[in-house]
Amino acid sequence: MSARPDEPLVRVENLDVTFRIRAAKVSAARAVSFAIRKREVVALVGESGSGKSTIGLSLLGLLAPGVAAVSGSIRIVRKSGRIFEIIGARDRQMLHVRGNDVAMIFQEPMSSLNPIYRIGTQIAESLRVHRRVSQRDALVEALRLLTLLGVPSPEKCLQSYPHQLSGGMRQRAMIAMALSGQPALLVADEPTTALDVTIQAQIVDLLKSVQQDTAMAILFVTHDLGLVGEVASRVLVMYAGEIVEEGPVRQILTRPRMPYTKALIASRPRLGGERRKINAIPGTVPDLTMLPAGCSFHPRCAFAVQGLCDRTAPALEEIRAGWRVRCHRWREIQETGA
Amino acid sequence: MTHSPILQVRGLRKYFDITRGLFSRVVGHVHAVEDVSFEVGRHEVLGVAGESGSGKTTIGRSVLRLVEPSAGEIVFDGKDVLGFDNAAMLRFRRTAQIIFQDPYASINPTMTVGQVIAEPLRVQKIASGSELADRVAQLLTDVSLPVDFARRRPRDLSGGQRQRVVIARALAVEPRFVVADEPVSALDVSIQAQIINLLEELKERRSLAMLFISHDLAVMEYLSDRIAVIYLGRIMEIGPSRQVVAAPRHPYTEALISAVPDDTGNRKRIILQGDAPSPIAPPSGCVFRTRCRYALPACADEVPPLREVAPGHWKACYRDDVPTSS
Repeated sequence: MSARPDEPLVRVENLDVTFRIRAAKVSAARAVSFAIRKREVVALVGESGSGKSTIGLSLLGLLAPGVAAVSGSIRIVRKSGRIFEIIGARDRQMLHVRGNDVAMIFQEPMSSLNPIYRIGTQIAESLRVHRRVSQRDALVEALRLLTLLGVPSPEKCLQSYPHQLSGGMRQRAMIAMALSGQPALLVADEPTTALDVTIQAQIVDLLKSVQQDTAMAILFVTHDLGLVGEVASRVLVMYAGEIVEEGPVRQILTRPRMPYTKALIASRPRLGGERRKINAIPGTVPDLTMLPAGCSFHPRCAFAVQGLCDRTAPALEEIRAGWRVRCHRWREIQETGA
Repeated sequence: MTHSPILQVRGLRKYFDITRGLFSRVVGHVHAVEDVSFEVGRHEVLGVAGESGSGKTTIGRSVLRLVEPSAGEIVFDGKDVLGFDNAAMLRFRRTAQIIFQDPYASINPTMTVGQVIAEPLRVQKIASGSELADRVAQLLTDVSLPVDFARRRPRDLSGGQRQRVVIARALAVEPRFVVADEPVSALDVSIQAQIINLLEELKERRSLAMLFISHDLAVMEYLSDRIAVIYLGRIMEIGPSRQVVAAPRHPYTEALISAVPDDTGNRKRIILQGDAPSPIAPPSGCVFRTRCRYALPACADEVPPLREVAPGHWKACYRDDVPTSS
């Protein structure tokens, strides 16, 4: 099936991911629906266990049937213009999509790189998987990519083993590999979390400029709300496997509607901001094997009302074009500040 | 009661040997901490900010003698810590304690929570029997954990709950000084605020002095009275928190603050080029000059001393005319 011109690059519909751990069922993602347009940078925010990495892995078709039960639909518009369904796709088909249409970079580049091969060999390998080129041409292209990514001495980097590089350089090597197939979508799963703040600034800057040059879309998975404002135009906030708020970054960071988003913003001290008391969110993220009834945030929510929030699960409601909120009470609480 | 600082550190140095070969021949040194001097006032929180490899953790461990300094002087409450014998060290541990970063690595998984918290009280022979149980119950209450947690195992606890246990253990001996080494970095954002508020409340209630080590400047500004910024083992700048953040005087501090993600998008970015140099062979002169956008040839000649640029605000930089952005 060919895509219509206004079709988003990726359309995720009713994605459910359940892991089976011994006898328990862990619902890592529940009825997740969203879309990413071409050239769009979307942030996916959540704490550990919110399901944000699960979404990233699902987009790459990396959740094997034996590991997780995945249902719903993830359709991507391939470079050929044809629509491809990732869920249930055969491994051989997925090999063509992975890297060419959607690629991924991870938090810890050291554990994603092979320690016994030189960086050049590894980048060349991913290039040769995607394009019919000789090893020599692949190495030339690898050199070009590393230069493009601001690696100070790219020839030396090609010859290096991962352990000889700093964290920032390793992440650049990972990005080079991800870009080798010229994907239309890059899933970046906490790509700067393991890095120092000055190196994080370098990598964020780099991703932004690469995104502008190549017009690829990025799904930026992070726990850091500050970073969201730096990189993305739209944000998806996840809690306990569900999207709880989605919308334009500026509005959500300044006037969040969902109490969880509100609380998350209020719980961070702001550098150089006015001195205000930070408000902690009481309790902990729920156990995904025993989710509370009703709204999964209600046990920690300052706005929860008995008989409603603890009984009925709220739907994701569109409160304005492009802005969705999962809360029974968003109308009543919208006037209170974050 | 005196107004003298609780902790004075002068000329602290810590080198780690790099060894090679069968006989562990020393082939070089990691200059982890290089000529660091500072004071911590009674009831004061001094933040130590730095990136990985800056030496901030080594500073924290050195002042408690958890690592043995290579040189320098550490005076705690008027006494020379490096001259302490074993008995004096044991007494010192009653007044100075540490909270570690990773609550999964710093608790013995085979002990119950009650045993973990009781251990310093037993070692210091502060309490035993039913009094010990009472003290543990009180400490659990102080860190907002249910009293029946004493019987639980660490594996049943979440990261935030574990960090509360680590804090209760550090406070068990009623110290007057605590080194908190990245106490919230391993925790989720929503849990971090709980622990930050707990630390602040305990600091007030027990009038603690604290050395708060972190890479997170926002949390540091929130909790600290003063901030010391460390780069390659040296203090680049030290001064009142608000001033250091709002009007940094050192080029490194300026870059560090500009790199903190800002959701308003208004902060001007200064991207530092390259990585920090290796602490095995730090640059001559100012250690920051290789990445400094204001560096002059003269910066390579000598190490700039800390000098006072505003009351209580010091920087180790020769130039008066920078940073220009603040």
